[in-house]
Amino acid sequence: MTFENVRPDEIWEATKDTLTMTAWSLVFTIVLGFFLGLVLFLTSRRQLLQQSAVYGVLSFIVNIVRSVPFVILMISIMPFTKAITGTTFGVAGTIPPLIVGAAPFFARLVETALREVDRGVIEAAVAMGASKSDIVFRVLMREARPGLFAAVTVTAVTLVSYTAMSGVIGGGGLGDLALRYGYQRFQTDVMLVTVALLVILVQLLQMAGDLLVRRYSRK
Amino acid sequence: MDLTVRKGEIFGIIGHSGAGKSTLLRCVNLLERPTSGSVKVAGVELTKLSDRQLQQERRKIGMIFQHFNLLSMATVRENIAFPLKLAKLSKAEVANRVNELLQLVGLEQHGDKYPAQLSGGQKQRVGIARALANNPDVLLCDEATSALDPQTTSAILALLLDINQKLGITILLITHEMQVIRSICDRVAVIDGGTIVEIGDVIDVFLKPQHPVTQDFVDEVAESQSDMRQLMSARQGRIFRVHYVGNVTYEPILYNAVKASGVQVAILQGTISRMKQTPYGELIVEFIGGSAEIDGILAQLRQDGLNVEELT
Repeated sequence: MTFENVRPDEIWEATKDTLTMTAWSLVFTIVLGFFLGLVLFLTSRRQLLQQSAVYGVLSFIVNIVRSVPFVILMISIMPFTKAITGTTFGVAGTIPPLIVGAAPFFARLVETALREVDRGVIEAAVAMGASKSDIVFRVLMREARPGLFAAVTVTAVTLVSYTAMSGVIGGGGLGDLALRYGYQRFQTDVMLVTVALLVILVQLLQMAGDLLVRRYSRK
Repeated sequence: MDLTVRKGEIFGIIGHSGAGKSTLLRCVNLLERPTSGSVKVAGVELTKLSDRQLQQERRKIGMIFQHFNLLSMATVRENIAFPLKLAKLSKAEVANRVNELLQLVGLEQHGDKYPAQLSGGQKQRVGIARALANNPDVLLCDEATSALDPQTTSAILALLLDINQKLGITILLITHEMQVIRSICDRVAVIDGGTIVEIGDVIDVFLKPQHPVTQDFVDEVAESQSDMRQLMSARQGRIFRVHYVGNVTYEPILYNAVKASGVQVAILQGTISRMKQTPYGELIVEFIGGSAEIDGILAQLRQDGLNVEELT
């Protein structure tokens, strides 16, 4: 098999696009998703700010966004995307749907990671006179660190696959390349190269994540 | 339920699991809020404070736990520093105080380890150091030795007693182990079904238990009742329980009373031990001889301050 259709410059551009989309959407997903996950955790039953109504509403919204397939989500929020970035195409037009799709997912992972923190440790902090913000910043975020790193890793990998899917609506990146050349023009060689690059990217992300988790595990 | 703990004492609350002792202890620093009534610690009525004021007051109430509840992601040093940082001490002050505390609990070598690298006894020492960091008036112990083996338990109890004596900190502890009460407590409350069924000096409560639950706990360390009855049924003479407290424990009183009378004495069961610092003894003895002589011995023993009762 020859790789006659593979154009290194195009591959390189697409790789850069994928990396840019993944990185930016990951940053925003972490910020928004962490906040959402923290609120979900704190307002849930028997936690510091127990608020069943708030928890119920947030949980419902998160479930709805998570049950919509990403491709559909991407298309259905196009007006919203356009309002924010001015376009629904390319790198800029892909980042908002990526965040909307991944933030609720990450929020659930954050909620689970925080739930793993030993209640006794939180109670000990309360007994020592810790305020609620002390508990969030000095106890929860510290004790849940390995779980949070694992959550970031899983989310980053998910984002890579979402970016590939965004090729469907002209999102750019490796997925777009695979779709346009590999699928629509039967250029199998381009498809193979892009898939290989995606595999390498996912492997690197997972390795980096595992390294962080191991570095911070104390159990 | 009404309970007052005196300044500087070690007060024990004993009860079976589910008796409400843990809830009672957690009401003291309002980890659990009583539905009615008030909680006063060192003169401050905690039940009337705002959240912020309560946080301040809680810093003067140390607490240690059955499962230690240390931050697993923080070193021993960082764990001990935690309450000091909450109290906003400067970096240098924190470092100094942490060193003092490490020394106090005998963990100088282990400051940079993580809790997972320590034994149970060492973890509880970290818990104690952390609880004492802000020089509290009161130390609450929630089943602090229940997860430890007997040897480690003794070492931790000795440390608590030492802290109480050296630093004058009032200790309120809950436990289901008689041994804990016996070795370090001054006063004890026995609790059952959410109420205090017996309260008083440890020595009084455990030498003359009134309530069946108290009796249960006493029997745990003594030989069981049925074994005792079996032993007694096989004997010929009259059987008595003799008990005594204080310095008489080490006097040859029984020997003196018996020697001239010609009555034979057999000791069937006996304990001579100490509750905290007070020596006490409890013997089951059999006297074989004439009735009048035996009565004479009983009179002599009672006159010397021993407590005697006939068992049938």
